[in-house]
Amino acid sequence: MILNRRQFLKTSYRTGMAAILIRYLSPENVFSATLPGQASLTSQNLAGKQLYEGRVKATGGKIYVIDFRAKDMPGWPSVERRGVILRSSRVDLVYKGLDLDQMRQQYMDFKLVTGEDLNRWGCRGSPPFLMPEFYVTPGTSPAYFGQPLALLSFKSTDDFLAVKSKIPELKRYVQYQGTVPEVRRQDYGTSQFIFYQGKKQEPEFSFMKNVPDMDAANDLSANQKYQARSEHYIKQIQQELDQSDWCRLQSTYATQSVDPMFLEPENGLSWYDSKSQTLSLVLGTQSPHEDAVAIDAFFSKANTPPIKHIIIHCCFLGGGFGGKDSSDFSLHLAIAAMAEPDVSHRIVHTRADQFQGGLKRHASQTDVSIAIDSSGNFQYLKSVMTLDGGGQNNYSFAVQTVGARNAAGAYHFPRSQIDAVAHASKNIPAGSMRGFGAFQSSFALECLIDEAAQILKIDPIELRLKNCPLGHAYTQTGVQLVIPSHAQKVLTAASQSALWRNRSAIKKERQTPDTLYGTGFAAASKTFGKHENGCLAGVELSKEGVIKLYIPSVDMGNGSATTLSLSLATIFGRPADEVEIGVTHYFDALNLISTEAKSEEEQGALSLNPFWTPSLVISSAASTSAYHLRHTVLEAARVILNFGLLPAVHQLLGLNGVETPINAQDYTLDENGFRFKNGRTFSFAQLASTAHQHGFVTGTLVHAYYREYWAEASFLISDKKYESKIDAVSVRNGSRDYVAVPRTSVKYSSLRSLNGDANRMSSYAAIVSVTVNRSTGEVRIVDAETFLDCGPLIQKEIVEGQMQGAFAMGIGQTLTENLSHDNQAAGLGELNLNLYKLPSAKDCAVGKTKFNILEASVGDEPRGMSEVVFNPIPAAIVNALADATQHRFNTLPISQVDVKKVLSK
Amino acid sequence: MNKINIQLNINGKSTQASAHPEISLADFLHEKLGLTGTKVSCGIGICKACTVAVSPPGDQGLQRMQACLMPAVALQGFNIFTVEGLASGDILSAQQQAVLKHFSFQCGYCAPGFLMGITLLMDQLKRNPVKRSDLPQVIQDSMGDHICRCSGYVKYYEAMNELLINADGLVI
Repeated sequence: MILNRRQFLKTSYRTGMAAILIRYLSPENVFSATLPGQASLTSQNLAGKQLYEGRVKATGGKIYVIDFRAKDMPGWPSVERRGVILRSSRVDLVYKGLDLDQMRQQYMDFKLVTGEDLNRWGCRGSPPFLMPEFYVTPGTSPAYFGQPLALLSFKSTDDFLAVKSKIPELKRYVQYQGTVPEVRRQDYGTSQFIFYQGKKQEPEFSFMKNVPDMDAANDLSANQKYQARSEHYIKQIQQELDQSDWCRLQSTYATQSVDPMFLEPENGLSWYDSKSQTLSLVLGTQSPHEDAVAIDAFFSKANTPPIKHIIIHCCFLGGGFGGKDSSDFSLHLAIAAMAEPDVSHRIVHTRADQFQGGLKRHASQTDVSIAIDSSGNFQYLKSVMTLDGGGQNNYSFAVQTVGARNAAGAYHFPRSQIDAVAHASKNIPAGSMRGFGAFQSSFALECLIDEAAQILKIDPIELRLKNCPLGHAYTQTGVQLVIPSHAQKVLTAASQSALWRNRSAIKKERQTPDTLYGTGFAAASKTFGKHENGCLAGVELSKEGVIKLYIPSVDMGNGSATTLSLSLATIFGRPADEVEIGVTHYFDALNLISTEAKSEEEQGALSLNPFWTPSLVISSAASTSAYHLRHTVLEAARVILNFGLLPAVHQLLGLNGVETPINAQDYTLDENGFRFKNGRTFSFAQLASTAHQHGFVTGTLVHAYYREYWAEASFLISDKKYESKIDAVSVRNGSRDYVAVPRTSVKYSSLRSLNGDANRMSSYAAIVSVTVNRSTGEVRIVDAETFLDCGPLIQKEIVEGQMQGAFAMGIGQTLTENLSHDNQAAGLGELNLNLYKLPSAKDCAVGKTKFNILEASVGDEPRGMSEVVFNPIPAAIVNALADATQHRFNTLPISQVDVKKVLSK
Repeated sequence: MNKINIQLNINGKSTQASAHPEISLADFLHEKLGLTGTKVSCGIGICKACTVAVSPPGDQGLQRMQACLMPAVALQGFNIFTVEGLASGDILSAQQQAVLKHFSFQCGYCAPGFLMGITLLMDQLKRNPVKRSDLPQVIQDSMGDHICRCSGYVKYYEAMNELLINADGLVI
């Protein structure tokens, strides 16, 4: 059975008992006055189309987690301990312990928490992704590079700063002994998807069509039957392959593990208040709720003082890219606080710490085979992807399956067998980094298609175009897309580019005796959003007409906050004035409860409770803003429009009590307010003030639930039936408190759809030209052009920024970034940017790369794009290198030395 | 180790404090003065997030300094300019306006370093203007080592190009 994140958390360990509160840590609420010398911190509104918080970021006034100190936090003890996490740099030896005498001589006074302490406390309730042990206990072997050994706590920041330069030497005092045998650990997750089109339009056999219902997960005979049928079709496919004259190609491609390299390393503050039995943390995290749940579980059976409340103060992140999603960093802060209650604690990763202890991208090896008939039609795909999950099953169970489900992108193969496995290793744990397995699987296929085009002497874009079905196609798992694939559209646009059409002529012009030149192409189509998602949003209107937006998810860059606030213009004619992110406590007013339904029958029974929902909220993820969150925000705004603003118009027209509907076509709402087509206008402030004065709806909190499609429900609001694609709503009338509105009916999709994928796809294509220095092997990106279809644009510059950032990230993935796990650089805690080379402006053909956003198709809606824009870049570079050198590089990264070696042959 | 008394002029204000000899300028700004605008990412002077501009006593020209590396006590009497000093009250500097107009950053963690890098370039060009045809290379060289992980470098480049072309006397 494939578990989603929510099911994984729910089924994997017993949840503790603490009440969890997530709140946005607004600098204005914390700092009573502007910090000395800083520009104003108050200019955080969203007037016009500015980047949310752009001004404070440009003035140094932006407060990231790293800028908070305990003394800044109201009510926190001002005494601030400074913690350092000591991690293992050996995985082949038994951990003996620490040379404390030497350490105390060198590092002044410090307190220590060890694996033995955690055992003594009885911290056994950890989620499985932290197993086998969170801190290694003496006498056992570290399970992976970077596994924590101990937490050192210095008395004060001053004490810490006095020894800071010697901290990297701490590992000298870690003692090891003996060797340990290799132990094969259980795989973190496997997937297999067999697809057989047959002669009909619908697939004859596919995962979605044939896998047993979730109700039948324990039904042995149903599962055996499915396995038997899968095997039958594997044989059938093999027979057809053997009897065909199709061109068959096979190759193996490998991609390395990389660090997300967000610029703000993980850090935070913690404090356990023994009086109120409250554990408080200040965190920059993509998953505050999951962090709190993990802490709660970790201490649920411990003999430490009881934790009745967990408060997560959430801050904006200085980058995330998936690396701050369900990281174990918050647990270290919790351990520090529980080890010494009633003082504040601060831990800040150095960059070397972050390389050694932070989540990574999964390294991969993919064996890929395709068969193509004489007309150039794809007939068969086999993809077997092996991911290295490292030492913890962080998100490996999900990354491998998402990678497998997206292995074919938007191409159609009438026959396919796609396998994926994420295995455990002694490497640094891998998590949910941008691309989420789909980069790894599609990289292999995009390179192999290029090989095929060369052999078949077909234009590589032509070959792809031939095999991308239009419309609501089926994916290789048998999911039918609910919005049409636009792969054809981006491929067609790319095929018309001068850089592509004239590539042979340009090559002739630019190739010299010293320099090789080549142009490569790759495309990517990836599902966006999640196949199941619970989303919350709140919109409030003040008496003065200020629009405030609340969202519980955490922004990784600022795309979410900016685009979601701008989205409100669709309803109100203007964006939000203020945004609070990472907040959940506002949503308590929805009175929602969520328990997992294990069968259709149980879902039917549970949904009779008007406040039940299948899933409350899921952590921040790339590409959810444009579709899932935007939908929820717009539905929240619509409630205010219908039950706040339009009644206010009625009131101002003197029509109160008269059933005269105001039709959408009769008015416009814009920056200036409400305007009837006949000229009568009301300012936004007038409407807001009237709504407040007469107790109309001025605030609304909504929950929307997505699984295959949005759940739809009916409510009675202001005595009127209201139907919407949300499953819970709470409203505020005038200035009164929020009241949860019990829904009168609801329709949820079948649980069976939990087996499926996200059913919406976005597409991207990239042409890259490179030069290669024949004598040094140096590769330079010299020209590029990319093509994106993301539906209607919400914020052009943010979309462009995502494309441009992903382009740079793709160059690093291909040419420079290397953790060298086996060489232990990161695992030893010695890696930094002097060795780990990130692409800078001079590596990225800045000023020579054209990023095209295609015009939205009629009726289309915004499509998530932040992952898909990364995925084809490495394959495009590899394909360009093949064109330049006539050699196909199969393993990333491709170093200058690798290229030189090939050229010298 | 004993602390040392130092005097620095930070964004035009004289500041006196005692500091451990090894404390970096970045830690000094953060921990002693509460000036958190200067960011630290790699801690070894590579990523350039911690870029500040300094001038020794009596010297008018600005020099690039990586605040994560330089011990604060080594800057006795120096004028130090950080991102917090770029705006005049509520009026943003030209370089701040340019990066905002072009949406040059997203998470913004790299922005203070880039902005100080632009400030240093402008100071250099005031003394030694460049030809228009050389400007793209000059910009590339100047921003070349700064790391941005969210938004690539294109929009910083566009902001700098427009800013420098339109500023008086920097491009000939």
